[in-house]
Amino acid sequence: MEINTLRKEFRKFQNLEYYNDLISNNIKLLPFNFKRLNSGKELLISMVGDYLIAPNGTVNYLLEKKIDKISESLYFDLLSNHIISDSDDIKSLELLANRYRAKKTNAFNFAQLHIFVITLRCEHTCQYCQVSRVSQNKEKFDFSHLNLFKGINLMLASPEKDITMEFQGGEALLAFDLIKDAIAYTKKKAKLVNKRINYVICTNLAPINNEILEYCKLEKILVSCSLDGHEELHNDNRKRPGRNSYSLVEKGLNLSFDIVGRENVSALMTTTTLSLQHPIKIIDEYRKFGFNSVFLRPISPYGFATKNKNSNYQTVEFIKFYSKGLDYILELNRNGEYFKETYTSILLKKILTAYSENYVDLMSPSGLINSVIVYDYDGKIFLIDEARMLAQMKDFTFQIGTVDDNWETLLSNPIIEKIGDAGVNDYIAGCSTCAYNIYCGADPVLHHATQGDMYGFRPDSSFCQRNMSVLDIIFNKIDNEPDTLEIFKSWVNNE
Amino acid sequence: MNEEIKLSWKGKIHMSSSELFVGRVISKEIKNQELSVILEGKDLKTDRFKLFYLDSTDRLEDNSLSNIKGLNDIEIGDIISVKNSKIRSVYRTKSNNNFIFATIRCNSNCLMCSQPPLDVDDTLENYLIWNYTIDLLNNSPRHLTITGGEPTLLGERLVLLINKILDKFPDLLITILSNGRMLALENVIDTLSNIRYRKNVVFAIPLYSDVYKIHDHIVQAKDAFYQTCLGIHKISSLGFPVEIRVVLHKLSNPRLLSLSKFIHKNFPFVYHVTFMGLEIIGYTKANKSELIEENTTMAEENLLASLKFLSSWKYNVSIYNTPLCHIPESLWSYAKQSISDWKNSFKPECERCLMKKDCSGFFTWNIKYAKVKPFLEKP
Ligand code: SF4
Ligand code: SF4
Repeated sequence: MEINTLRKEFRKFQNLEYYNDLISNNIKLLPFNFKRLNSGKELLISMVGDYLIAPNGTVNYLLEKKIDKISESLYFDLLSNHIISDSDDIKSLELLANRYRAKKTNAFNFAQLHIFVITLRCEHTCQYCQVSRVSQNKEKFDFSHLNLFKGINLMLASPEKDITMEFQGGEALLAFDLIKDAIAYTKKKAKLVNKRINYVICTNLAPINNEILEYCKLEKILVSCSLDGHEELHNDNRKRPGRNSYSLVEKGLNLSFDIVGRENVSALMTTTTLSLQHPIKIIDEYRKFGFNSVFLRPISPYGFATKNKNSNYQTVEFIKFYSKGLDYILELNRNGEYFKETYTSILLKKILTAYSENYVDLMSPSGLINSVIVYDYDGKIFLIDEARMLAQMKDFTFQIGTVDDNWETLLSNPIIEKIGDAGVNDYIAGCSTCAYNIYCGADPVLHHATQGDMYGFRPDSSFCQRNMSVLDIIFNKIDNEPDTLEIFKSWVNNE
Repeated sequence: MNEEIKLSWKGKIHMSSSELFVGRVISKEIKNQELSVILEGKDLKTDRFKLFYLDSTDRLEDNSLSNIKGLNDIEIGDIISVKNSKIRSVYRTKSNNNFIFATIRCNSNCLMCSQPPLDVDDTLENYLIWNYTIDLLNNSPRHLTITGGEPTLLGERLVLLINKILDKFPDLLITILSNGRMLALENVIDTLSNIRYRKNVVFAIPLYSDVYKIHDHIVQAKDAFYQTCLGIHKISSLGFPVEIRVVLHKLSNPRLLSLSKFIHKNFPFVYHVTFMGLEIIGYTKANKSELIEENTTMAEENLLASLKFLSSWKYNVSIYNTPLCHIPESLWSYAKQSISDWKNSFKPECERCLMKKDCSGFFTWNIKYAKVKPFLEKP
């Protein structure tokens, strides 16, 4: 053919209708969940977590295939948010598979966080603590060198290249010499297997001193401390002889900032009944120390923590506390101060981006095995920190073995298969049809502990109540407050 | 090729024994306003070295082309190909924006294509030309664009060229302008995975809508949207940087913000999103009524909202090829001067404009249609 005839051939253009896959309004629904917002609008969430806020009635129209009732721009939004498809063969299937995989990438990992309960000894007797011992008996309540090295060998034999080794207690720093031995041993061995290890020490800061901090600086160890709020509250929650826990934290924090630098120090709070009245004071306390985030964290409703009057409160009360705190924090942001609530930020990352956050409670498949492993002071290996509290009450469900085992034995523990089942919210009753399941988790440990069943019963699960409420709060804000969405974005972006 | 860009010329062939010649300009002489150029290179079919002569007057000598108009653009060091009576500029030594023209073939047929495709298999020829051109290069180009047609239709040969030039100049950055559709195919991805310097090769892939049928209509190819989307995922998972390019016109403007959100959710890994002004050349001229935006207020608002959205999520965003007097001042910080040296032109009125030094001006071929509003006071 002559070039000019070819040119003409190519110049026959088709119109838009030619490219339409839709045949006589026969739309296909992709897997999505939905929920009504306070405004009456409908929240539609796709299987990969893209959300759309649509007018009342939209879902019904979709189900009845009355698409002439839906505006063109909303129809296009439904297509591009992966809620419907125009053709039988879902042409975006492979794209969706990639998206789903990206959202669930944590499931392909092994534990990156390895917690070593280096000692059970502590000089505090905190309200909510159930495992620590006030004791001088190192023999009995510290890791033995032999077990410690076995634990480290196991950690280094696990598949991840980047590992965080976290020292917990009791009060970890009461066994500072042991920590030093552990790190020296780990450093030597990690080099041989080409792994990068980050170290964290969790401490109440009471025993902190220059020598320890200089060591932390040298070894690039992060310091994570407990700070429950203002002086009175902190001292009420965190009992110790002399009632001076707070002033020790204050001194310890300032010293830590000086020596290891602010960026290497973090603080964590636990909410007790006493805290519930003081969300604003607690947040101000964090600001006072120059932190730009707080994690409003409920108490784990396990074991004898729940038997203590100051640890036993209803989720509704916690949500009131959280909501008041969140509003206060948002107000701070509106006034130009960058400050974020960590739990909200974890959820927001899942809501506003294609990715997820590696936070064990909010994972499905559950974060057990693929997020954290716990080595207890006596050589027992648990799937999660909370399992130690259950063990304290003679429930060893989540103990998979001891440091004397190898990974093959540990991972062939039957509990792991059960978790594989009970840890996937896509098919847990209640969750499977919940609008939020792509953002939420499963938490078989909590349901086992509180309901005696790893699958759990959602209508009175405190886990469900908390997440459903928090997500409701978040989405109603997104729906009603455009400026809040901008603040939320800044939290996800960390700036 | 387009006459406006002065990259190809025609002349009268005389006694040439070569079918396809590629050579470097070693001399350029002007006598009595007549131009003669000597090329030194190789006949690619016989693999023999020789000289070739280009003249603006009649010249009756072996291996020559005569009666060529407008040769002035040619410079010593440029690399030129000669096929039959046609000359093409392959490599311009002074240019910041050299490009490999991979093929005139394309599997799409975009309404606003500036380089309308043809169903002619020129892939071997273009490969041979560049395979030898790389041998002739003494210095690294500052930047290289691989364009077409659809470059990935070159297949294995594309990989050979890229590896060859990057072996020679490992710091060179290459941008491939691909519609991304072929990248959805496993065998194409397998082939491209043989590129050894993935970080040096950016795939710049156009996406015009978040709605499949709007995109398919714009590129005039069924299922192109899904193929391109998947292609973006696949090429990125090989480790190639991906840039998404959006051409602004009447069909893409209305859903620009939705497209930006779609990019954020589906392609969060892209390293650059660029919005480009429409080129009134090629097919665009034929589809003007469908493409030229009348509702400029809506278009501006959508562009601004899109840029704000993408930059709030920390994407690197730019506007190319749009003069400053065509966009609100709030968008100026995103406007980039085009990297290409032959696309920018200004109207005579622009001489009075205080913003000219920051302005990208117009595509040369848009000038005819362009209206300007020179800034006479500092905005
Ligand atoms: S736990 Fe509750 S909020 Fe979370 S997915 Fe299940 S039903 Fe939804
Ligand atoms: S008048 Fe000319 S130089 Fe000035 S902004 Fe417009 S196009 Fe650019």
